[in-house]
Amino acid sequence: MKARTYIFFLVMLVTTSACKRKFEPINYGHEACTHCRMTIMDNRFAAEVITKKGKAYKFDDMGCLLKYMKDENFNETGALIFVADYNNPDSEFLDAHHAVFLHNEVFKSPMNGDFAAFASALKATQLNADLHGPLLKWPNLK
Amino acid sequence: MAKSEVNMRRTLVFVFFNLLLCLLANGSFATVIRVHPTANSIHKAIDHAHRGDTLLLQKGYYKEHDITVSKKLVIIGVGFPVIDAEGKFQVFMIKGDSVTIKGLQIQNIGEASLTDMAGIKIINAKNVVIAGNRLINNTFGVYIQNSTHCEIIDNIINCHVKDELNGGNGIHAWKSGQLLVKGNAISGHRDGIYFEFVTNSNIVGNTSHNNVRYGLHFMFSHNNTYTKNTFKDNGAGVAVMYSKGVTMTDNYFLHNWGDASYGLLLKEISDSKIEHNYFIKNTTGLYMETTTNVAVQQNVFQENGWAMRIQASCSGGSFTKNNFIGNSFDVTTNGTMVMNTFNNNYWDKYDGYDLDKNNVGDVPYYPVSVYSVVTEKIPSAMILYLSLLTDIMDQVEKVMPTVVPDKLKDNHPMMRKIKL
Repeated sequence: MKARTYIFFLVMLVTTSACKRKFEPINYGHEACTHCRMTIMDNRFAAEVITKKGKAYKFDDMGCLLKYMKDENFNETGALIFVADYNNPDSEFLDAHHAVFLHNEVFKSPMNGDFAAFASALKATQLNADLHGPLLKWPNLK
Repeated sequence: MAKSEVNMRRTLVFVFFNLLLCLLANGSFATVIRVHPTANSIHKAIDHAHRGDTLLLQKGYYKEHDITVSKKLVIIGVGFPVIDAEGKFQVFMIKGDSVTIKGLQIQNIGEASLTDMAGIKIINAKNVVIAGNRLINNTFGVYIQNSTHCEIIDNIINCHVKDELNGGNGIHAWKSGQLLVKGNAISGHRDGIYFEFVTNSNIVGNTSHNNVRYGLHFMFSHNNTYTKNTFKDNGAGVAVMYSKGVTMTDNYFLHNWGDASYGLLLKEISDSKIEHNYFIKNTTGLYMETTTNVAVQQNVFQENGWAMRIQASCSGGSFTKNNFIGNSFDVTTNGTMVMNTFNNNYWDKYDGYDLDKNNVGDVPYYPVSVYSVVTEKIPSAMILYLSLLTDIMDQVEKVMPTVVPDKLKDNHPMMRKIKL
Protein backbone atom coordinates (compact mmCIF):
# COMPACT_ATOMS: atom_id res chain seq x y z
CA MET A 1 0.00 0.00 0.00
CA LYS A 2 2.65 2.45 1.06
CA ALA A 3 4.90 1.74 -1.88
CA ARG A 4 1.94 2.25 -4.16
CA THR A 5 1.28 5.70 -2.73
CA TYR A 6 4.90 6.65 -3.23
CA ILE A 7 4.79 5.54 -6.83
CA PHE A 8 1.56 7.45 -7.33
CA PHE A 9 3.13 10.65 -6.02
CA LEU A 10 6.25 10.09 -8.04
CA VAL A 11 4.21 9.72 -11.22
CA MET A 12 2.20 12.82 -10.30
CA LEU A 13 5.39 14.76 -9.70
CA VAL A 14 6.83 13.79 -13.05
CA THR A 15 3.63 14.50 -14.97
CA THR A 16 2.91 17.86 -13.32
CA SER A 17 6.44 19.15 -13.68
CA ALA A 18 6.33 18.12 -17.32
CA CYS A 19 3.50 20.64 -17.85
CA LYS A 20 5.11 23.57 -19.58
CA ARG A 21 4.39 26.88 -17.94
CA LYS A 22 4.63 29.82 -20.24
CA PHE A 23 3.89 33.51 -20.51
CA GLU A 24 0.19 34.30 -20.62
CA PRO A 25 -0.57 37.27 -22.90
CA ILE A 26 -2.04 40.36 -21.25
CA ASN A 27 -5.31 41.69 -22.57
CA TYR A 28 -4.51 45.40 -22.41
CA GLY A 29 -7.35 47.69 -21.52
CA HIS A 30 -9.37 44.86 -19.99
CA GLU A 31 -7.38 43.03 -17.37
CA ALA A 32 -6.70 44.50 -13.94
CA CYS A 33 -3.41 44.63 -12.09
CA THR A 34 -3.24 42.06 -9.29
CA HIS A 35 -1.82 44.55 -6.82
CA CYS A 36 -3.34 47.97 -7.52
CA ARG A 37 -6.49 46.83 -9.34
CA MET A 38 -5.98 49.35 -12.11
CA THR A 39 -6.68 48.30 -15.66
CA ILE A 40 -3.43 47.42 -17.40
CA MET A 41 -2.96 49.88 -20.26
CA ASP A 42 0.64 50.83 -20.79
CA ASN A 43 2.44 47.94 -22.47
CA ARG A 44 5.87 49.45 -21.76
CA PHE A 45 5.65 48.77 -18.02
CA ALA A 46 3.59 45.59 -17.67
CA ALA A 47 4.90 42.56 -15.79
CA GLU A 48 3.77 39.04 -15.06
CA VAL A 49 4.51 36.25 -12.63
CA ILE A 50 3.77 32.60 -13.31
CA THR A 51 3.79 30.70 -10.04
CA LYS A 52 5.24 27.29 -9.49
CA LYS A 53 1.74 25.89 -9.89
CA GLY A 54 1.23 27.73 -13.18
CA LYS A 55 -1.07 30.53 -12.04
CA ALA A 56 -0.50 33.86 -13.78
CA TYR A 57 -0.49 37.17 -11.93
CA LYS A 58 -0.39 40.29 -14.09
CA PHE A 59 0.76 43.77 -13.14
CA ASP A 60 0.65 47.21 -14.71
CA ASP A 61 3.90 48.37 -13.16
CA MET A 62 7.13 46.78 -11.96
CA GLY A 63 6.53 48.61 -8.68
CA CYS A 64 3.28 46.71 -8.21
CA LEU A 65 5.01 43.42 -8.93
CA LEU A 66 7.71 44.11 -6.36
CA LYS A 67 5.22 45.29 -3.73
CA TYR A 68 3.03 42.29 -4.32
CA MET A 69 5.93 39.89 -3.93
CA LYS A 70 6.95 41.61 -0.73
CA ASP A 71 3.44 41.82 0.78
CA GLU A 72 2.62 38.22 0.02
CA ASN A 73 6.07 36.90 0.96
CA PHE A 74 6.10 35.45 -2.49
CA ASN A 75 8.40 32.47 -2.84
CA GLU A 76 10.35 33.10 -5.99
CA THR A 77 11.85 29.65 -6.37
CA GLY A 78 10.36 27.94 -9.35
CA ALA A 79 8.32 30.99 -10.40
CA LEU A 80 8.73 32.64 -13.78
CA ILE A 81 8.93 36.42 -13.84
CA PHE A 82 8.35 38.38 -17.03
CA VAL A 83 8.74 42.08 -17.70
CA ALA A 84 7.80 44.16 -20.74
CA ASP A 85 10.60 45.32 -23.00
CA TYR A 86 10.52 49.12 -22.82
CA ASN A 87 11.94 49.52 -26.32
CA ASN A 88 9.80 46.86 -27.97
CA PRO A 89 6.63 46.68 -25.92
CA ASP A 90 4.80 44.76 -28.61
CA SER A 91 7.34 41.98 -28.81
CA GLU A 92 7.88 39.13 -26.37
CA PHE A 93 8.30 39.81 -22.68
CA LEU A 94 11.74 39.49 -21.13
CA ASP A 95 12.81 37.13 -18.39
CA ALA A 96 13.32 39.43 -15.41
CA HIS A 97 16.46 37.55 -14.39
CA HIS A 98 18.15 38.40 -17.67
CA ALA A 99 16.78 41.90 -18.16
CA VAL A 100 18.55 45.15 -17.36
CA PHE A 101 16.58 47.87 -15.57
CA LEU A 102 16.64 51.62 -15.31
CA HIS A 103 14.92 53.50 -12.52
CA ASN A 104 14.00 57.13 -13.15
CA GLU A 105 11.11 59.50 -12.51
CA VAL A 106 10.90 60.48 -16.18
CA PHE A 107 9.31 57.16 -17.08
CA LYS A 108 6.12 58.14 -15.23
CA SER A 109 4.93 54.55 -15.06
CA PRO A 110 1.28 53.93 -14.07
CA MET A 111 1.95 53.47 -10.35
CA ASN A 112 5.17 55.46 -10.05
CA GLY A 113 7.33 52.37 -9.85
CA ASP A 114 9.28 54.05 -12.65
CA PHE A 115 11.26 50.99 -13.68
CA ALA A 116 11.89 50.23 -17.33
CA ALA A 117 13.27 46.91 -18.51
CA PHE A 118 15.64 46.34 -21.42
CA ALA A 119 16.83 43.27 -23.25
CA SER A 120 20.51 44.07 -22.83
CA ALA A 121 22.87 46.48 -21.11
CA LEU A 122 23.58 48.00 -24.51
CA LYS A 123 19.93 48.86 -25.11
CA ALA A 124 19.62 50.39 -21.66
CA THR A 125 22.80 52.42 -22.05
CA GLN A 126 21.46 54.12 -25.16
CA LEU A 127 18.65 55.66 -23.18
CA ASN A 128 20.73 56.06 -20.07
CA ALA A 129 22.97 58.56 -21.86
CA ASP A 130 20.34 61.16 -20.88
CA LEU A 131 19.34 59.73 -17.53
CA HIS A 132 22.69 58.93 -15.91
CA GLY A 133 21.32 56.29 -13.55
CA PRO A 134 22.87 52.98 -12.58
CA LEU A 135 22.05 49.89 -14.63
CA LEU A 136 20.14 47.50 -12.41
CA LYS A 137 19.67 43.75 -12.44
CA TRP A 138 16.80 41.80 -10.91
CA PRO A 139 18.49 41.17 -7.50
CA ASN A 140 19.08 44.94 -7.14
CA LEU A 141 15.38 45.67 -7.29
CA LYS A 142 14.25 43.85 -4.18
CA MET B 1 0.24 85.10 -50.71
CA ALA B 2 -0.36 88.79 -51.21
CA LYS B 3 -3.24 88.60 -48.81
CA SER B 4 -1.17 86.99 -46.10
CA GLU B 5 1.50 89.60 -46.58
CA VAL B 6 -1.04 92.31 -46.16
CA ASN B 7 -2.32 90.52 -43.10
CA MET B 8 1.15 90.24 -41.72
CA ARG B 9 1.88 93.86 -42.36
CA ARG B 10 -1.39 94.74 -40.74
CA THR B 11 -0.49 92.66 -37.70
CA LEU B 12 2.91 94.22 -37.43
CA VAL B 13 1.48 97.69 -37.78
CA PHE B 14 -1.04 96.83 -35.15
CA VAL B 15 1.54 95.45 -32.83
CA PHE B 16 3.79 98.43 -33.38
CA PHE B 17 0.95 100.85 -32.87
CA ASN B 18 -0.10 99.21 -29.68
CA LEU B 19 3.45 99.08 -28.48
CA LEU B 20 3.76 102.81 -29.04
CA LEU B 21 0.52 103.40 -27.23
CA CYS B 22 1.69 101.30 -24.37
CA LEU B 23 4.95 103.15 -24.09
CA LEU B 24 3.19 106.50 -24.24
CA ALA B 25 0.92 105.47 -21.45
CA ASN B 26 3.94 104.33 -19.46
CA GLY B 27 2.63 100.76 -19.54
CA SER B 28 0.00 101.58 -17.01
CA PHE B 29 -3.03 100.22 -18.91
CA ALA B 30 -3.58 97.09 -20.89
CA THR B 31 -4.02 97.16 -24.62
CA VAL B 32 -5.94 94.92 -26.95
CA ILE B 33 -3.95 93.39 -29.78
CA ARG B 34 -5.67 91.74 -32.72
CA VAL B 35 -3.79 88.79 -34.18
CA HIS B 36 -4.47 87.48 -37.67
CA PRO B 37 -3.44 84.07 -38.96
CA THR B 38 -0.09 84.61 -40.62
CA ALA B 39 3.16 82.74 -40.13
CA ASN B 40 4.16 82.82 -36.46
CA SER B 41 1.69 85.60 -35.74
CA ILE B 42 0.90 84.32 -32.23
CA HIS B 43 4.59 84.02 -31.35
CA LYS B 44 5.26 87.53 -32.56
CA ALA B 45 2.26 89.01 -30.85
CA ILE B 46 3.25 87.41 -27.53
CA ASP B 47 6.83 88.63 -27.88
CA HIS B 48 5.63 92.16 -28.46
CA ALA B 49 2.85 92.21 -25.93
CA HIS B 50 3.24 93.75 -22.52
CA ARG B 51 2.23 92.33 -19.20
CA GLY B 52 -1.53 92.57 -18.86
CA ASP B 53 -2.32 92.92 -22.56
CA THR B 54 -5.13 91.14 -24.32
CA LEU B 55 -4.55 89.24 -27.56
CA LEU B 56 -7.58 88.73 -29.74
CA LEU B 57 -6.93 85.82 -32.07
CA GLN B 58 -9.08 86.30 -35.13
CA LYS B 59 -10.92 83.43 -36.70
CA GLY B 60 -8.75 81.29 -38.96
CA TYR B 61 -6.21 78.52 -39.09
CA TYR B 62 -2.89 78.93 -37.27
CA LYS B 63 -0.09 76.43 -37.80
CA GLU B 64 1.94 77.23 -34.71
CA HIS B 65 3.42 75.25 -31.88
CA ASP B 66 5.52 75.49 -28.72
CA ILE B 67 4.12 78.88 -27.80
CA THR B 68 5.52 79.83 -24.42
CA VAL B 69 3.58 82.36 -22.39
CA SER B 70 5.63 83.63 -19.48
CA LYS B 71 3.92 86.91 -18.70
CA LYS B 72 0.42 87.83 -17.65
CA LEU B 73 -1.66 87.87 -20.85
CA VAL B 74 -5.25 87.31 -21.83
CA ILE B 75 -5.53 85.32 -25.05
CA ILE B 76 -9.03 85.19 -26.47
CA GLY B 77 -10.19 83.51 -29.66
CA VAL B 78 -12.80 85.25 -31.78
CA GLY B 79 -15.01 82.66 -33.49
CA PHE B 80 -12.87 79.70 -32.43
CA PRO B 81 -9.60 80.15 -34.32
CA VAL B 82 -7.88 76.80 -34.89
CA ILE B 83 -4.32 76.17 -33.75
CA ASP B 84 -2.99 73.00 -35.32
CA ALA B 85 0.09 71.14 -34.06
CA GLU B 86 0.03 68.82 -37.08
CA GLY B 87 0.34 65.67 -34.96
CA LYS B 88 3.94 66.47 -34.12
CA PHE B 89 4.17 69.24 -31.56
CA GLN B 90 2.51 70.78 -28.52
CA VAL B 91 0.88 74.20 -28.47
CA PHE B 92 0.71 76.35 -25.33
CA MET B 93 3.27 76.25 -22.53
CA ILE B 94 2.16 78.58 -19.79
CA LYS B 95 4.94 79.47 -17.41
CA GLY B 96 3.69 82.81 -16.12
CA ASP B 97 1.07 83.66 -13.51
CA SER B 98 -2.43 84.95 -14.25
CA VAL B 99 -2.62 83.91 -17.89
CA THR B 100 -6.08 83.45 -19.39
CA ILE B 101 -6.83 81.39 -22.49
CA LYS B 102 -10.35 81.46 -23.88
CA GLY B 103 -12.26 80.40 -26.95
CA LEU B 104 -9.52 78.62 -28.91
CA GLN B 105 -9.58 75.34 -30.75
CA ILE B 106 -6.31 73.48 -30.23
CA GLN B 107 -5.88 70.30 -32.17
CA ASN B 108 -3.63 67.44 -33.29
CA ILE B 109 -1.00 67.41 -30.57
CA GLY B 110 1.88 65.00 -31.13
CA GLU B 111 3.04 62.02 -29.14
CA ALA B 112 6.46 61.33 -27.63
CA SER B 113 7.74 58.58 -25.39
CA LEU B 114 9.43 60.58 -22.66
CA THR B 115 7.56 63.92 -22.79
CA ASP B 116 3.86 64.16 -22.23
CA MET B 117 2.64 66.40 -25.03
CA ALA B 118 -0.38 68.56 -24.35
CA GLY B 119 -2.63 71.15 -25.95
CA ILE B 120 -2.18 73.49 -23.02
CA LYS B 121 0.52 72.89 -20.43
CA ILE B 122 0.65 74.90 -17.24
CA ILE B 123 4.04 74.70 -15.59
CA ASN B 124 4.95 76.28 -12.24
CA ALA B 125 2.26 78.95 -12.50
CA LYS B 126 -0.57 80.44 -10.45
CA ASN B 127 -4.03 81.83 -11.24
CA VAL B 128 -4.19 80.53 -14.79
CA VAL B 129 -7.65 80.35 -16.36
CA ILE B 130 -8.42 78.00 -19.25
CA ALA B 131 -12.03 78.52 -20.26
CA GLY B 132 -14.34 77.64 -23.10
CA ASN B 133 -11.76 76.06 -25.38
CA ARG B 134 -12.04 73.07 -27.65
CA LEU B 135 -9.19 70.61 -27.40
CA ILE B 136 -9.54 68.08 -30.17
CA ASN B 137 -7.45 64.97 -30.88
CA ASN B 138 -4.64 65.75 -28.50
CA THR B 139 -2.47 63.30 -26.61
CA PHE B 140 -3.05 65.25 -23.40
CA GLY B 141 -5.66 68.01 -23.34
CA VAL B 142 -4.79 70.27 -20.42
CA TYR B 143 -1.69 69.36 -18.41
CA ILE B 144 -1.05 71.03 -15.09
CA GLN B 145 2.25 70.63 -13.33
CA ASN B 146 3.43 72.20 -10.06
CA SER B 147 0.76 74.87 -10.29
CA THR B 148 -1.84 76.30 -7.93
CA HIS B 149 -5.10 78.25 -8.03
CA CYS B 150 -5.79 77.42 -11.68
CA GLU B 151 -9.27 77.18 -13.20
CA ILE B 152 -10.18 74.83 -16.01
CA ILE B 153 -13.73 75.72 -16.97
CA ASP B 154 -16.24 74.77 -19.68
CA ASN B 155 -13.80 73.22 -22.12
CA ILE B 156 -14.64 70.51 -24.59
CA ILE B 157 -11.87 67.94 -24.60
CA ASN B 158 -12.25 65.16 -27.09
CA CYS B 159 -9.97 62.68 -28.74
CA HIS B 160 -11.08 60.16 -31.29
CA VAL B 161 -8.10 59.14 -33.35
CA LYS B 162 -5.31 58.34 -30.94
CA ASP B 163 -3.74 55.01 -30.26
CA GLU B 164 -6.02 53.41 -27.68
CA LEU B 165 -3.36 52.15 -25.33
CA ASN B 166 -0.79 54.90 -25.26
CA GLY B 167 -3.00 57.98 -25.40
CA GLY B 168 -2.91 60.62 -22.69
CA ASN B 169 -5.44 62.07 -20.29
CA GLY B 170 -8.02 64.79 -20.90
CA ILE B 171 -7.17 66.90 -17.88
CA HIS B 172 -3.96 65.79 -16.19
CA ALA B 173 -2.76 67.40 -12.99
CA TRP B 174 0.42 66.54 -11.16
CA LYS B 175 1.79 67.99 -7.92
CA SER B 176 -0.68 70.85 -7.88
CA GLY B 177 -3.23 72.35 -5.52
CA GLN B 178 -6.28 74.61 -5.21
CA LEU B 179 -7.52 73.80 -8.69
CA LEU B 180 -11.06 74.26 -9.96
CA VAL B 181 -12.13 71.91 -12.73
CA LYS B 182 -15.67 72.82 -13.69
CA GLY B 183 -18.16 72.14 -16.44
CA ASN B 184 -15.83 70.37 -18.85
CA ALA B 185 -16.90 67.64 -21.24
CA ILE B 186 -14.19 65.05 -21.73
CA SER B 187 -14.23 61.97 -23.93
CA GLY B 188 -12.01 59.54 -25.80
CA HIS B 189 -8.87 59.94 -23.70
CA ARG B 190 -7.09 57.35 -21.58
CA ASP B 191 -8.39 58.85 -18.32
CA GLY B 192 -10.84 61.76 -18.49
CA ILE B 193 -9.53 63.54 -15.42
CA TYR B 194 -6.31 62.35 -13.82
CA PHE B 195 -4.88 63.69 -10.57
CA GLU B 196 -1.65 62.70 -8.94
CA PHE B 197 -0.43 64.52 -5.83
CA VAL B 198 -3.14 67.16 -6.14
CA THR B 199 -4.67 68.66 -3.00
CA ASN B 200 -7.51 70.96 -1.94
CA SER B 201 -9.19 71.06 -5.31
CA ASN B 202 -12.77 71.12 -6.52
CA ILE B 203 -14.08 69.10 -9.42
CA VAL B 204 -17.59 70.25 -10.22
CA GLY B 205 -20.16 69.55 -12.89
CA ASN B 206 -17.95 67.81 -15.43
CA THR B 207 -19.04 65.10 -17.80
CA SER B 208 -16.47 62.44 -18.51
CA HIS B 209 -17.60 59.71 -20.86
CA ASN B 210 -16.34 57.05 -23.28
CA ASN B 211 -12.79 57.29 -22.11
CA VAL B 212 -10.62 54.27 -22.69
CA ARG B 213 -9.79 53.59 -19.05
CA TYR B 214 -11.21 55.76 -16.28
CA GLY B 215 -13.60 58.70 -16.31
CA LEU B 216 -11.86 60.02 -13.23
CA HIS B 217 -8.68 58.66 -11.75
CA PHE B 218 -6.72 59.97 -8.85
CA MET B 219 -3.91 58.79 -6.66
CA PHE B 220 -2.19 60.32 -3.65
CA SER B 221 -4.52 63.32 -3.86
CA HIS B 222 -5.85 64.42 -0.50
CA ASN B 223 -8.71 66.68 0.54
CA ASN B 224 -10.39 67.08 -2.82
CA THR B 225 -14.10 67.48 -3.45
CA TYR B 226 -15.98 65.97 -6.40
CA THR B 227 -19.51 67.23 -6.92
CA LYS B 228 -22.22 66.94 -9.56
CA ASN B 229 -20.08 65.15 -12.11
CA THR B 230 -21.28 62.50 -14.52
CA PHE B 231 -19.07 59.53 -15.33
CA LYS B 232 -20.56 57.43 -18.04
CA ASP B 233 -19.57 54.54 -20.34
CA ASN B 234 -15.90 54.61 -19.41
CA GLY B 235 -13.77 51.53 -19.95
CA ALA B 236 -13.34 50.85 -16.27
CA GLY B 237 -15.41 53.54 -14.52
CA VAL B 238 -13.78 55.65 -11.83
CA ALA B 239 -10.79 54.74 -9.69
CA VAL B 240 -9.77 56.48 -6.53
CA MET B 241 -6.66 55.33 -4.76
CA TYR B 242 -4.27 56.04 -1.92
CA SER B 243 -5.95 59.25 -0.81
CA LYS B 244 -7.57 60.66 2.30
CA GLY B 245 -10.19 63.29 2.91
CA VAL B 246 -12.08 62.64 -0.30
CA THR B 247 -15.59 64.06 -0.57
CA MET B 248 -17.80 62.76 -3.36
CA THR B 249 -21.34 64.10 -3.54
CA ASP B 250 -24.13 64.23 -6.12
CA ASN B 251 -22.21 62.42 -8.83
CA TYR B 252 -23.58 60.00 -11.37
CA PHE B 253 -21.72 56.77 -12.08
CA LEU B 254 -23.48 55.28 -15.06
CA HIS B 255 -23.21 52.28 -17.24
CA ASN B 256 -19.66 51.02 -16.79
CA TRP B 257 -19.77 47.45 -17.99
CA GLY B 258 -16.96 44.92 -18.13
CA ASP B 259 -15.02 42.37 -16.18
CA ALA B 260 -12.72 44.86 -14.47
CA SER B 261 -15.18 47.78 -14.58
CA TYR B 262 -16.47 49.60 -11.55
CA GLY B 263 -18.82 52.51 -11.08
CA LEU B 264 -16.42 53.60 -8.38
CA LEU B 265 -13.34 51.74 -7.19
CA LEU B 266 -11.88 52.77 -3.85
CA LYS B 267 -8.51 51.45 -2.81
CA GLU B 268 -6.70 52.60 0.32
CA ILE B 269 -8.99 55.53 0.93
CA SER B 270 -9.47 56.92 4.40
CA ASP B 271 -11.63 59.47 6.20
CA SER B 272 -13.83 60.12 3.22
CA LYS B 273 -17.48 60.71 2.38
CA ILE B 274 -19.55 59.26 -0.46
CA GLU B 275 -22.96 60.94 -0.37
CA HIS B 276 -25.97 61.47 -2.61
CA ASN B 277 -24.44 59.69 -5.59
CA TYR B 278 -26.21 57.58 -8.15
CA PHE B 279 -24.72 54.25 -9.19
CA ILE B 280 -26.76 52.96 -12.08
CA LYS B 281 -26.23 50.00 -14.42
CA ASN B 282 -22.62 49.18 -13.60
CA THR B 283 -21.08 45.73 -13.43
CA THR B 284 -19.98 46.67 -9.91
CA GLY B 285 -21.42 49.88 -8.46
CA LEU B 286 -18.97 50.44 -5.63
CA TYR B 287 -15.86 48.37 -4.99
CA MET B 288 -13.89 48.94 -1.80
CA GLU B 289 -10.54 47.53 -0.79
CA THR B 290 -8.44 48.45 2.28
CA THR B 291 -10.48 51.53 3.10
CA THR B 292 -10.81 53.06 6.56
CA ASN B 293 -13.56 55.31 7.89
CA VAL B 294 -15.48 55.84 4.71
CA ALA B 295 -19.07 56.99 5.14
CA VAL B 296 -21.42 55.89 2.38
CA GLN B 297 -24.71 57.68 2.87
CA GLN B 298 -27.88 58.40 0.97
CA ASN B 299 -26.75 57.00 -2.33
CA VAL B 300 -28.82 55.15 -4.89
CA PHE B 301 -27.64 51.78 -6.20
CA GLN B 302 -29.83 50.73 -9.06
CA GLU B 303 -29.69 47.90 -11.58
CA ASN B 304 -26.06 47.00 -11.01
CA GLY B 305 -24.62 43.51 -11.25
CA TRP B 306 -23.11 43.94 -7.81
CA ALA B 307 -24.26 47.06 -5.96
CA MET B 308 -21.28 46.90 -3.60
CA ARG B 309 -18.28 44.66 -3.25
CA ILE B 310 -16.64 45.29 0.05
CA GLN B 311 -13.44 43.39 0.65
CA ALA B 312 -12.81 42.14 4.16
CA SER B 313 -9.81 44.47 4.38
CA CYS B 314 -12.13 47.47 4.80
CA SER B 315 -12.75 48.82 8.28
CA GLY B 316 -14.77 51.53 9.95
CA GLY B 317 -17.07 51.93 6.98
CA SER B 318 -20.62 53.05 7.62
CA PHE B 319 -23.38 52.45 5.11
CA THR B 320 -26.46 54.41 6.00
CA LYS B 321 -29.72 55.35 4.31
CA ASN B 322 -28.85 54.09 0.86
CA ASN B 323 -31.41 52.78 -1.60
CA PHE B 324 -30.71 49.39 -3.18
CA ILE B 325 -33.02 48.78 -6.07
CA GLY B 326 -33.00 46.05 -8.71
CA ASN B 327 -29.39 44.88 -8.29
CA SER B 328 -28.49 41.26 -9.02
CA PHE B 329 -26.43 41.19 -5.83
CA ASP B 330 -26.63 43.82 -3.11
CA VAL B 331 -23.39 43.23 -1.22
CA THR B 332 -20.58 40.72 -1.50
CA THR B 333 -17.47 40.28 0.52
CA ASN B 334 -14.54 37.89 0.44
CA GLY B 335 -14.27 36.96 4.10
CA THR B 336 -16.16 36.59 7.34
CA MET B 337 -14.60 39.51 9.18
CA VAL B 338 -16.96 42.45 9.12
CA MET B 339 -15.67 45.74 10.47
CA ASN B 340 -18.26 47.92 8.79
CA THR B 341 -21.77 48.89 9.85
CA PHE B 342 -25.00 48.91 7.88
CA ASN B 343 -28.00 50.84 9.08
CA ASN B 344 -31.32 52.18 7.85
CA ASN B 345 -30.83 51.25 4.23
CA TYR B 346 -33.65 50.38 1.89
CA TRP B 347 -33.22 46.96 0.25
CA ASP B 348 -35.81 46.01 -2.32
CA LYS B 349 -35.08 42.33 -1.64
CA TYR B 350 -35.98 42.65 2.05
CA ASP B 351 -39.04 40.56 2.83
CA GLY B 352 -39.27 41.10 6.58
CA TYR B 353 -42.19 42.65 8.44
CA ASP B 354 -42.92 45.82 10.36
CA LEU B 355 -45.41 45.05 13.13
CA ASP B 356 -44.94 48.29 15.05
CA LYS B 357 -45.50 50.30 11.87
CA ASN B 358 -42.52 52.58 12.41
CA ASN B 359 -41.30 52.07 8.83
CA VAL B 360 -38.28 50.13 10.09
CA GLY B 361 -38.19 46.37 9.54
CA ASP B 362 -38.36 44.29 12.73
CA VAL B 363 -35.89 41.62 11.60
CA PRO B 364 -32.42 42.26 10.22
CA TYR B 365 -31.62 42.03 6.53
CA TYR B 366 -28.61 40.04 5.36
CA PRO B 367 -27.53 41.68 2.12
CA VAL B 368 -24.96 39.05 1.18
CA SER B 369 -26.75 36.30 -0.70
CA VAL B 370 -25.52 32.72 -0.71
CA TYR B 371 -24.92 32.75 -4.36
CA SER B 372 -22.81 35.88 -4.20
CA VAL B 373 -20.56 34.07 -1.71
CA VAL B 374 -20.31 31.14 -4.10
CA THR B 375 -19.50 33.30 -7.13
CA GLU B 376 -16.96 35.31 -5.16
CA LYS B 377 -15.03 32.06 -4.68
CA ILE B 378 -15.83 30.43 -8.00
CA PRO B 379 -16.61 33.17 -10.53
CA SER B 380 -17.60 30.73 -13.25
CA ALA B 381 -20.47 29.49 -11.06
CA MET B 382 -22.28 32.56 -12.34
CA ILE B 383 -23.49 30.46 -15.22
CA LEU B 384 -25.99 28.80 -12.86
CA TYR B 385 -27.30 32.08 -11.49
CA LEU B 386 -31.11 32.36 -11.65
CA SER B 387 -31.48 28.60 -11.90
CA LEU B 388 -33.67 26.45 -9.65
CA LEU B 389 -30.53 25.40 -7.81
CA THR B 390 -29.77 28.93 -6.61
CA ASP B 391 -33.36 29.41 -5.47
CA ILE B 392 -33.16 26.26 -3.40
CA MET B 393 -29.83 27.35 -1.92
CA ASP B 394 -31.28 30.74 -1.02
CA GLN B 395 -34.27 29.19 0.74
CA VAL B 396 -32.14 26.67 2.63
CA GLU B 397 -29.79 29.45 3.73
CA LYS B 398 -32.69 31.50 5.05
CA VAL B 399 -33.82 28.65 7.28
CA MET B 400 -30.35 27.56 8.31
CA PRO B 401 -27.66 30.18 7.71
CA THR B 402 -24.23 28.64 7.24
CA VAL B 403 -22.45 30.27 4.33
CA VAL B 404 -23.38 33.93 4.63
CA PRO B 405 -21.30 36.10 7.00
CA ASP B 406 -23.83 36.54 9.81
CA LYS B 407 -22.30 39.74 11.11
CA LEU B 408 -22.85 41.58 7.87
CA LYS B 409 -26.40 42.72 8.35
CA ASP B 410 -28.64 45.73 8.45
CA ASN B 411 -30.42 45.70 11.82
CA HIS B 412 -32.78 48.46 10.87
CA PRO B 413 -33.73 48.06 7.22
CA MET B 414 -36.23 50.59 5.93
CA MET B 415 -39.59 49.39 4.67
CA ARG B 416 -39.94 52.10 2.07
CA LYS B 417 -37.60 53.74 -0.38
CA ILE B 418 -35.73 56.62 1.20
CA LYS B 419 -36.52 60.00 -0.27
CA LEU B 420 -33.34 61.73 -1.31
